[in-house]
Amino acid sequence: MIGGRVRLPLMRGLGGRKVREIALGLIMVGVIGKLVLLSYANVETVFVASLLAGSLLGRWYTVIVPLAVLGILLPLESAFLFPGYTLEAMGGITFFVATGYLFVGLAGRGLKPRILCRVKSVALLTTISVPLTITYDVWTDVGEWFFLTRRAGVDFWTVLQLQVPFTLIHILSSLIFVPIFGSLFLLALAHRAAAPLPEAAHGNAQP
Amino acid sequence: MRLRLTEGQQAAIFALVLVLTIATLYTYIRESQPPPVQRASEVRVSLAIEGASWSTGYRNVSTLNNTVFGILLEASQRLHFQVKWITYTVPEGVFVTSINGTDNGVGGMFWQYWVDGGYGDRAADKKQIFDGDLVVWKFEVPQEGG
Repeated sequence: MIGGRVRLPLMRGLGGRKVREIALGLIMVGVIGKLVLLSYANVETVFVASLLAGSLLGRWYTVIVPLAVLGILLPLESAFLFPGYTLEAMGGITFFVATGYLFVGLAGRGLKPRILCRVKSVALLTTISVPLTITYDVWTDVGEWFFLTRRAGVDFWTVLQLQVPFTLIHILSSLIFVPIFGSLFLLALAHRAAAPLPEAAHGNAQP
Repeated sequence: MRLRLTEGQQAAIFALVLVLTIATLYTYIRESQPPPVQRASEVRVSLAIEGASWSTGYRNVSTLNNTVFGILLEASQRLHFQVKWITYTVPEGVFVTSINGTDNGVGGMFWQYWVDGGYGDRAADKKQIFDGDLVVWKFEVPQEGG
């Protein structure tokens, strides 16, 4: 009985079938996009998946989508891309990457009430993606500096300066993917069956 | 009087602004990339590789491979050790991940290079070397961002 009481609000928080399909679509965009674009440093789709999860779906998806994407990608990366990396270095940087994407999702969640199937909403998401990308990069630089470069006596300011060209590429990535996937998923949400959005259906907007 | 735009007009203006912004940013990023190294006449250079518990050298050789990466690959073929790398498209360049079985990340250390004592400031295949240069690859704690 207790399990049932817990499961019911949890299932409600996940919304209807269409909402779950859109969440799955966002997870696929995050994973497949990242893998396809591996040779383009900082051109990635995890950012847009996290932002759209918060701003279009909200609720548990703000957390589930970025963590699911990373949960799939990180084992692949540590096994195939960075096989020799120490657990401490990988774990430390992973913490900053995961919390960075959670922050992006939560920032998107803050915009959710203003997001409708309108050009203005896509423009708002695209505009906000620029400062969010910079904030995400600075945050992950803190992790890189703390767990890697600090030991070599490199100061944080130097790390930030060397990050600039990579952040410009990351901004370019956001400016391309946020309007494309933002428009596609907004249209998908708008054209879904009459089933209410998870928040409209249950009124409780957490997290 | 407030100008009211239709969704179509808003979409057109948004697309135009976005395309211009992306084009400007992309052009800036492309222009700020280091230029490709031109193949020059033969150069006489030396290479030293210092792993965590091993080292090797490829000293005073004449070569047409006038990049830090080129001389490393040449040495790997002559001295029979393995080099692994990832090729990035944007920003363009190679990132060496393993030399002679020593993989990046072990002990928080990574493969980095110096040319005549100067720390590598770009991808190894974008760094030109000249007559008399000494290239050193060391497995150390990194000194760069990105």
